[in-house]
Amino acid sequence: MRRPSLAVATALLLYLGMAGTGLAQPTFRDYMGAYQLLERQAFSQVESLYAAASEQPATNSSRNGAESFFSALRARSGGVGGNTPEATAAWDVARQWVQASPTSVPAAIFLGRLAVRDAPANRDWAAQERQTSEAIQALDKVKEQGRKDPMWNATYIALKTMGGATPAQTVALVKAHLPAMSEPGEMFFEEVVTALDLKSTDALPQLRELADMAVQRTAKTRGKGMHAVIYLSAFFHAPALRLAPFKPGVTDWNTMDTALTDLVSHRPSSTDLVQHAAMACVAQDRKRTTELLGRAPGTNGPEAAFWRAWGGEPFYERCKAWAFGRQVPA
Amino acid sequence: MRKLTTRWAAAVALALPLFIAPAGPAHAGDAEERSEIAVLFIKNYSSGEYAKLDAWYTKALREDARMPSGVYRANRMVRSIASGFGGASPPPPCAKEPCPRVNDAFWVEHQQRAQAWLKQNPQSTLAAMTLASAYSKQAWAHRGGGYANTVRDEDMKKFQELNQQALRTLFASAEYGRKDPNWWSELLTYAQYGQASRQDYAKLAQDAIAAFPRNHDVYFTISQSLLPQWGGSYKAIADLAAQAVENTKAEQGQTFYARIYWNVYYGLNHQGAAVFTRPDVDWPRIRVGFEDLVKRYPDNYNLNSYARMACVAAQDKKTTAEVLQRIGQDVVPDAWEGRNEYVRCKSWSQGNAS
Repeated sequence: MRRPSLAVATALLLYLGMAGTGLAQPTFRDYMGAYQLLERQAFSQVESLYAAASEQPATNSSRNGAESFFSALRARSGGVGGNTPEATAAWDVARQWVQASPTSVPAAIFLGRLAVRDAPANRDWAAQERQTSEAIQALDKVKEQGRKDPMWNATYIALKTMGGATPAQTVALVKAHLPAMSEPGEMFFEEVVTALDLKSTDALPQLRELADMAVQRTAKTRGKGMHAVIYLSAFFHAPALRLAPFKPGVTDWNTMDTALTDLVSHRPSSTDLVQHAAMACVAQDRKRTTELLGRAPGTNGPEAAFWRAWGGEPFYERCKAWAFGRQVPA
Repeated sequence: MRKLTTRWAAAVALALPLFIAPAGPAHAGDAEERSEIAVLFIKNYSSGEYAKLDAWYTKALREDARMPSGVYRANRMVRSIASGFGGASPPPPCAKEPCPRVNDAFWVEHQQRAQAWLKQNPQSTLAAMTLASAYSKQAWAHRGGGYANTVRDEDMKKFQELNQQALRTLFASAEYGRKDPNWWSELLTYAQYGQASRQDYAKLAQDAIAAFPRNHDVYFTISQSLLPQWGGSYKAIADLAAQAVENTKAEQGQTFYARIYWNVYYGLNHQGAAVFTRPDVDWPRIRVGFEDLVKRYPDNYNLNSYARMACVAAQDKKTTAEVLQRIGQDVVPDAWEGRNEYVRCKSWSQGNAS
């Protein structure tokens, strides 16, 4: 395991010294160092870091501070998980943290997120059930402190739905939890979409209900942006929805156009510009396609993967030819 | 022909679990046997011991040998061919960037190996199918896995050319191949990829059925070509399933109706999971087929898959509950998308969930 550089350690100490003063903002680099701190059992330092992270809104990224914190922990604790030594070792780290700090909300969340992450690869369902119960128990112990925390709620809902919740039950859980928590970020809603298990449930009515709930809850800061977040996540889990995203029962272009505009104005994103341009083309809104293609990156850069999801270079070229009035290639 | 390197063989062995998954439903009850067949192919193919492969394959074919779930052992060997290639085109070593997208040299090497095998035993349909498969896999490496509208014209052209080459390879071994159901099945696959006209394909399909009217793999391949996204329709699938039952009912009862829909489900469910609730899909008849299937082949994987189809694809609460009760503790995790899905089906079928 690599040790954090002196510069990072100094920055972290400086930050910790200034925590709560409003003078320091932790960075993603700090979050990436959190797992090493946990391995060294520096639990209170990590908890202070999480407290500061929880105050960070999402401004230049799709992730707020708390979401970035757990994304970094995941990356450092075995990534996508499964039966790797790193993923297995992470369980020991999380259990030690929970044991040392039984009232720590981030400790319980971390344990819960490991249970969610590692479940799909675990074919031993009895073991999976034990891990889920252990994690729910840890989250329940910090329920009072955790109920305001969207990450606690996201993890709790994910674990509860792993016990076989129907889409209606999943949405009901969200409805019950949403009022008490502080404003959730994009990751919260993306994880609820995952829990809906669209490929196996055809839960389009519940997806719509979730989108309406999300917009209502976040309208003051995000406008209709969360509608886009939820449907983009649905397209990721059920890619065939992209073939006809505006058919009855899925979404509609006017709402999506407004939602994507709101989303990108809240936090600029070149990949979401690609999604917006692609959907304008699918919706056959020539004016919007022309505008958006003028701003969206093409198929050569890092955004190429997002164009590929809609049809790759041939789709991009067809949209361009159509939008700018040239003859559509055969 | 030089032997493949130890490093390459080790890489193939490591990659094996990724590539032995069947195109259709997997059978956990057969998992061990399926793995053994794949390993047998890899081992003998990489060491050039083709006579052993031919002997094994001919025996399995002659005896109509089946696995516990009822699928054919010889067909498993054909499905293992891809694992002999490592299943994919590795990134090519090249002197300067950008490297070519497809490592044609890799595929040419496998084509040469298969040609050497065929030269050694011109009667080997397994060798011919290996050679054809090496052409077709190269074709897919050029095409990529995306929807047709995402493929560049030049890549699509190459895809069709190489699949035509696969077809020519199989036709060249027709004298022996026409006695092998898997040869027909592979021929139908490449005819579809090579964009045979619907008329030619239909004629070929009927010839294949006439040659092997009781082989489910032939029907499986034809059913793939009848998917709506390939220009087929739900009615065409229903007609094929009915024809299959007509041809096999003396020995297999109604099982083929279930087998065909089970096989085709994974090509239909991208537009929604509850495919068997459509008015043009006859779920009661599929259910009868599944009942017959689990009676004749009481493999736990078959029973678990029946429960899953009843729940997810047909949303038939009563049948789901009944079959889950029969399963009891014998749950086969591989038959389900995950524990979540199994528990949801159980809870829903028992009326504990809306």
